[in-house]
Amino acid sequence: MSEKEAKPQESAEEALMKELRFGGIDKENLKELVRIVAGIQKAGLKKFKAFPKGTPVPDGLRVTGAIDAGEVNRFLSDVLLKTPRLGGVVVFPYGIPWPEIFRVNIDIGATGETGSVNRF
Amino acid sequence: MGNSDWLPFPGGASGPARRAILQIHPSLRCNLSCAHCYSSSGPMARTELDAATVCKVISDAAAMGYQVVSASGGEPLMYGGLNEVLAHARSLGLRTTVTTNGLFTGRGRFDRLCKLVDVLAISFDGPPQIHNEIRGSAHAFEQLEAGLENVRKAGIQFGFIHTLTQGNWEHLLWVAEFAAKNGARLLQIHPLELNGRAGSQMAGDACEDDVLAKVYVLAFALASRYSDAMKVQLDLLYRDHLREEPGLVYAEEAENNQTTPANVLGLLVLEPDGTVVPVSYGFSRRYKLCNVKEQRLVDAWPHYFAKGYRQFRALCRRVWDELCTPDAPLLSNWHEVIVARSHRTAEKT
Repeated sequence: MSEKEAKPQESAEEALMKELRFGGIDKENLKELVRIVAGIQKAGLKKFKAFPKGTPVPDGLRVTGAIDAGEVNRFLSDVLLKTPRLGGVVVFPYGIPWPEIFRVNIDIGATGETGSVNRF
Repeated sequence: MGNSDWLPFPGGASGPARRAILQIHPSLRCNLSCAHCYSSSGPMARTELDAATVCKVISDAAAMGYQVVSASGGEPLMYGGLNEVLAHARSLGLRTTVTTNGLFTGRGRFDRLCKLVDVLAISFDGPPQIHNEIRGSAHAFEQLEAGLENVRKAGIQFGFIHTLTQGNWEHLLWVAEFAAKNGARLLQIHPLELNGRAGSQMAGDACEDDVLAKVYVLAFALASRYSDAMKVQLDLLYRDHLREEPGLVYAEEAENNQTTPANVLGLLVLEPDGTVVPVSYGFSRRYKLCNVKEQRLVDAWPHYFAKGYRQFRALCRRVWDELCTPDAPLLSNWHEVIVARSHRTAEKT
């Protein structure tokens, strides 16, 4: 065992706070983030989390959450299609034993897995 | 009690509330002079209503359909008539809440209070240094922590009301952790309003738009994180939601056919000078329902509903129009805006 004590893992909320305080999210991306949060709040998205995204300097966010199957269509049309600075969206079912719940991942600002930045 | 049953504190209530609330401020006396106080309460303040007058207002409100009495101040625990007022409200079947500054007295007080109050709301501004600085007291946080133990032992359900400023938003995770760890059932985050003493002492501390946006995101993340333990409520309205639901802020076009006063005006405020105003402390007297030293609330209602209420609704509509314009802020504290606009001379009624 290493003599060094393991550093406690940073929670998603701590990472989000750090990104909001010191990160490179510009005002337009911040507005997009508010729009998405407001939309998912209205649609009833649960287990919401937001993680900083982008390398070497985080300048975007990945938002994740869970949503009821019946709300997916409205969520996609009401929220996501009105959000011009999206980096990517993934919606997939949790599957058995929760077939009625879908997982939603939304990237804002920085793109997909490469971390390169969208400049729309 | 499930989270969905939790009673939101006034201040977060916009538009016709789920449970109609009578908010009472029977006294401006307080053992603190907090920098952010919207009512300029303090140790030297003497404006106060007697308990008999307050009880009459509560009786009238109950008859008008109001279901909750929410006592604020000043510091309501310093108000001599508090127990009488709460007992009266309870005898009429109303729910009761008390908002306190957290400088509690001993446990005995809470043992009595627990039979009279459903929810205790405790104002709390952040980590010790920030809390004490805003409260103007080196021991405010220490006393708050000590008092929480007494509240828990008395079995009173409680929540925190956190005033959000440009200087303390970065401590929001700490604030939420403190609230959850101490057994709070609600964390209500209320952006600083520049009314009362706050207008002169904290003028530079109101949150800028980008901070409000960051807090909006954080609050939602915290609500999700603590959903099993407590409700996290942020007193801000998102512009598009406001546009889609004008009824949230009494701005819908359709004529309201509801006949019960509580159904058409979800929040009444009794101020220490006896004035009853709609929805928020500090509302312009032009929109008052009455002064209960001169007229019973229940007697004032018919005339108010025929005239004053229409003027109030017109004001709400103008404010709604203003907040829904494309260049309006994305997030707004409706209560602060409506109070400010009620005082504008250009909106003479």
